[in-house]
Amino acid sequence: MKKVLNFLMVLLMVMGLGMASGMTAFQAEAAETAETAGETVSAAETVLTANQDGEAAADASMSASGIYDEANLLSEDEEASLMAQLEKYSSKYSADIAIVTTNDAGGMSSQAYADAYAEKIGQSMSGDEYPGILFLIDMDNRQIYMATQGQAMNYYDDYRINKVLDNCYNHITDGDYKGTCEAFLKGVRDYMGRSTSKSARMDAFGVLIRLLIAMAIGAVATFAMVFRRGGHVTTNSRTYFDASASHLDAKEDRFMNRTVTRRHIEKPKGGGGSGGSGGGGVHVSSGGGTHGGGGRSF
Amino acid sequence: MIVNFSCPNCGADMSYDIKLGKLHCDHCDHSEDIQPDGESYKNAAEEPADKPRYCVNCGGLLSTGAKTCATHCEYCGAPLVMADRLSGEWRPAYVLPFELDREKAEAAFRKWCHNGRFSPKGFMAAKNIQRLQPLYIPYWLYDVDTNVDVRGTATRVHVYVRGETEYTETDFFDVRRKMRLEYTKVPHDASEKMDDTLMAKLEPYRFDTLRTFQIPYLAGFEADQGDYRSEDLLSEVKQQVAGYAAEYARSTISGYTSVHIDHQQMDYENISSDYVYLPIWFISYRYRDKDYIFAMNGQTGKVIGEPPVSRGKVAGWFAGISAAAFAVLMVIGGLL
Repeated sequence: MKKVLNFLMVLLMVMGLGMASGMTAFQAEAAETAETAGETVSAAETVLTANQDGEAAADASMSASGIYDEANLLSEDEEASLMAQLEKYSSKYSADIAIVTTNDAGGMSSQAYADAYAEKIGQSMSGDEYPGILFLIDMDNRQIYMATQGQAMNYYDDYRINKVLDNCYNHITDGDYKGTCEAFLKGVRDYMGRSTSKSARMDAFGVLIRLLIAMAIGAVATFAMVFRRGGHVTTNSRTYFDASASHLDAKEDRFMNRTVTRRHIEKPKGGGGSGGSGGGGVHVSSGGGTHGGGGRSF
Repeated sequence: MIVNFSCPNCGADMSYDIKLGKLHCDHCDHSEDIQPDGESYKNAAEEPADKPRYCVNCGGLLSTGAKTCATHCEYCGAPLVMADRLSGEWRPAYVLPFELDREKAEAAFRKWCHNGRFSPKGFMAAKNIQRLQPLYIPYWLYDVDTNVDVRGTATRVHVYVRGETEYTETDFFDVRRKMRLEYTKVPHDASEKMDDTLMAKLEPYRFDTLRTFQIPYLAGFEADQGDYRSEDLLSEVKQQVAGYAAEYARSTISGYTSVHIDHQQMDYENISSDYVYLPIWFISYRYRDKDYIFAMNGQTGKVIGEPPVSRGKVAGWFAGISAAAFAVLMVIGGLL
């Protein structure tokens, strides 16, 4: 038994080592990505500062991609930095990406407002194939909302929308609007153009899970192969028993007395049902376009 | 008195052949049936332990231990049997001849250590496997009759519901079982150097093939004289049999919710014992300051012992399997 324990310890240690090295690899990878991203951003930024006026022009013509900071939540610098990232992803994924903020949703829900805005700037007019995504910070309804149009509906299921909104929510509650928008853009980077079919979903977490499962398989398989019980006792009380020569001399089962105890039992109470959860999914806006999306209050 | 068996045909050394069940000459392929020993063997007086012994074949001085009964001459390789140590009170009544030969033992050994997949370097070398030895281990086989008298209290509980009331009825019984149980050929090894728990794990043997002991059965094997006499081990055997008997007696008290034994009495009668040799294949291996043993029941093939494991090789297998599994998971995906 002690040996088995020792052995398990060794295996665990090996597993731990493997995991540690795996983690380091991940961190290195992540750091690398961040580094390249940083470089690209600063490069794009310089381009953008030169194009400040151009951006305003795009704003006026209501491009399907862009930042529409109607609630003035972002400073100019912040907006420029976000715009650089936004344009990078927009061209990389050939997608319409819009960030909208508003103080007045005009009495509409965040969903209706976002859908209408997307149609207004032409996202859903680009044809069903072209992916469009709109991120709305609605200070009126105090909601963040993500509207997806066209092909983007195939890239963003409830699971992914919630994941992105989770990350955004962490920033919006701190009043960090730039961080909120960056979290959204990160959600664009992570999922845009990637089918929601499970095989394609391969983020770092998925790799780590796979690594862990693989190591578990390795540990179990190796253990099963190595493990040898040192043999065990297979004789029992009947092995050397000679039934033919043995006999019973007395067998008594004498009833002595009976005791009875009584207990009152409560009637069981009926149970209640559980509440349902709110749905997401595809819907048709007042403008007639088909949109996907989901939101969260803050 | 040292005995070896020369081939009547060619004069070479003969040893017991496990497959044939006869004395066999490897040189000319002649074989001889096992003949009953002469009186000179059965009653040979044991020679003093300090008296030097010489090989009857080549005259070489033997460096065997004081208890060695069967071995090989370290110079000429002749199988030798010390008949004087197998006489008088140490004359075995029976021997259980080997049924599994070297070929089968080596196959079992390889299987046991996974063909060396995890073994330290050199473990699977032919030279090492050659050290696998057929041993005859001295045992005492006990016949014990026991009289068991067990008394106790048993309950039978019945629970039912009438309306809003739950009734629990408990019936109490006085139970008694008195029985005579016979146990035959309960083995206990008589060797001091063999670990008792390991030897117990090699059981059971089938005793229907026990043969009346004759000296030639030991030719070509290693055997030592027993260290313990029958009476030395009796209390342990009684304890073992008591456990069996108590378990049996209690198993006959059935059909109750609970049984509590208040009184248990055990008497032993007609105790007798026989001195026998039982066959095992054995190898020990020292690795990283630890002794590893492989032992196989020479009759049934039951194997005990843990093989030495090289940590490096285990880590390698773990890494390899994990990497392969990881690659497969990355390709098929689907788990998230």
